[in-house]
Amino acid sequence: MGEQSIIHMHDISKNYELGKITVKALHSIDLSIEAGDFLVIAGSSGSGKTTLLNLIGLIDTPTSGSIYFDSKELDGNERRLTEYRRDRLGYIFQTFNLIPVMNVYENVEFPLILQGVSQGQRKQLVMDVLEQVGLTGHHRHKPRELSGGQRQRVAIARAIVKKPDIVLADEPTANLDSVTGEEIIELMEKLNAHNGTTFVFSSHDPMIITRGRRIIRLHDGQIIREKEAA
Amino acid sequence: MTFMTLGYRSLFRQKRRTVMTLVVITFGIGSLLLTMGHTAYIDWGLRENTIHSETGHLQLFHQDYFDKEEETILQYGLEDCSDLKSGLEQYLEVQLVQARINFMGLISNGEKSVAFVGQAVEPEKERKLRNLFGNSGAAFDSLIACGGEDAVVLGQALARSLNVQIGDWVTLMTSTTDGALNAVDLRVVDTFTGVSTEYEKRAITIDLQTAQQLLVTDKVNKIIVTLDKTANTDRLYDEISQWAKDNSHTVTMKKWHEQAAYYKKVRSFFQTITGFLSLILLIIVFFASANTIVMSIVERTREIGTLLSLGTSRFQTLKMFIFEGLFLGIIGGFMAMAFAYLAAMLINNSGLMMPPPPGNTQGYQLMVRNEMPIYIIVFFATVLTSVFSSLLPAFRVTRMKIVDALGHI
Repeated sequence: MGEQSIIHMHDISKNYELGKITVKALHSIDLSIEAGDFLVIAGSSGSGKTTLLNLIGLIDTPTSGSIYFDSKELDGNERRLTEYRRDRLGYIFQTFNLIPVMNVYENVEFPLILQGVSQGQRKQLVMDVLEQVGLTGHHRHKPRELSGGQRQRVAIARAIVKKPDIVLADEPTANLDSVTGEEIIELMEKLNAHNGTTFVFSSHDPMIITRGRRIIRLHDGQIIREKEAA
Repeated sequence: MTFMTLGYRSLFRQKRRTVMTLVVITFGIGSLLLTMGHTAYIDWGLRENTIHSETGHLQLFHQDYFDKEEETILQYGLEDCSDLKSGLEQYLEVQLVQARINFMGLISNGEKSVAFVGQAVEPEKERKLRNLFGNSGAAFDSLIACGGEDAVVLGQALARSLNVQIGDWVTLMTSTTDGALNAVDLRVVDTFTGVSTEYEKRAITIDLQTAQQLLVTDKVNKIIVTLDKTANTDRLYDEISQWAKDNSHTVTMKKWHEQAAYYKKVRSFFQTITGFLSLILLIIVFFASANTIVMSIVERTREIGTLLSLGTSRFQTLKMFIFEGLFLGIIGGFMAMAFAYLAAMLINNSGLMMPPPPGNTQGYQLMVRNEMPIYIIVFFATVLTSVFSSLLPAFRVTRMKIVDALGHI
């Protein structure tokens, strides 16, 4: 476990019960996520990318093994997990998962409301982050009025507005055309470089995978290779 | 953006479904309000009719009237009650003080004799008593016209049974206060219809003085006190009780509802029906609301997963659905009240007549009372029903594992 580790996973396994069959989604995973990482989890479909992201994002629990957050082992306390999700982690989903009854501003503002940030501060933070993702002037639009790329930018803004330790993205470009996907990756790179935001994202697209500074390749639920860009 | 706003907005995502639910609530709860309003009208009408035709608000009896069995008629009647009556008339709230005698005997047309149940009254005051509630009291006009002397009014069924017409003579036979037999010949001056045919077959009404002559007494059974408002009954009961004690009037007093057995039975009957109907309609509202919320929850399972993954607590998510149910109930409740109020106005102006209830001889106009307490109770019941209907499905979905909720299609 490195000193800079935000999350450390030790001997993690995850099994799913499908009727009488046990599917081993992850097997003996050891992984540390360091502050400032731009990490890609690569692998073919069914390799366990999403399962691993879910475990890192504390939205799923391992069958065995330990997860450490800030060197403290997580014990399944629901209140503490909610606090971590609220304050320390940001999510970007493949299908954007914006709340349709909220406009762009409200979607981005929502995590700050959960944190109890004052209205004045919220406005400043939301407008700043919308500018960073290039959505100034779109804050009153409803998600349905935006293109796929714009929706994903809103999702990124929502994930980073609270300045989380880690932003997790499950195949963030999978539902976008290649040009828009490229824009999204560039945006994430920019935020990582300028703000020091840690990104962990999954992909099976070779073009996207090569953009990672650290690449973990999964196969049948096991890490088969880990590579750091020079 | 609070969870309350989120709940409110979520309610109108599927406008058509929400509107359909609101329509069900509006008609269901509106019908409940109309039913309860009609029952309230029957209750009010029957109560005031009972008071302004039978019981008055207060009744004064001899102190032993209810405790001891009379061996002769009027043994425990009120004697020389003019002081008592004039004392009662001093109260500002007292509108009418009148005496009555209840007696029984045989009535004969010379060929046929049947038992009767008689009431001896002060005809002018009886008419006034009915006038206080807007009834004509015309049944007493004929007694008033002839000064009450040698006159009797018969129940229509009794007149038919004796085969007598207005103007014919009948003989009343009864025992006097001394236990002796006495009889009097009286002319039939009118007939009346009663609340039931059974009552009509036995009932007669005569003037108080005629009855006192027949019974050879100056006593009366009871003094009826009618007040300006029914709501004053309890207060005047206390005040008159104290006044009677202070002035050595040895009487016992009853409030109107203690002497209104028929009213209580009818009220209980209608309350049972209304209670049953209320239950059914609230169940319908419960399932209509639950259906909307369940559909809404199922469709938004992935969104719930998203909210939870953003750090929303399960309680906050639950709160959102509770607000959704709350708003559904509030909007539905207001729509139902508006619908019921307008429908009640239409019904009340329609002049629609209802058939006579079982055992009764006269129908009555369909009327609905718009009473604020009923509206408030039903409104809150609607809101609570709607909130409860959202609780269980919301509770279940917020217990889901986040990853399962996010994977929901």
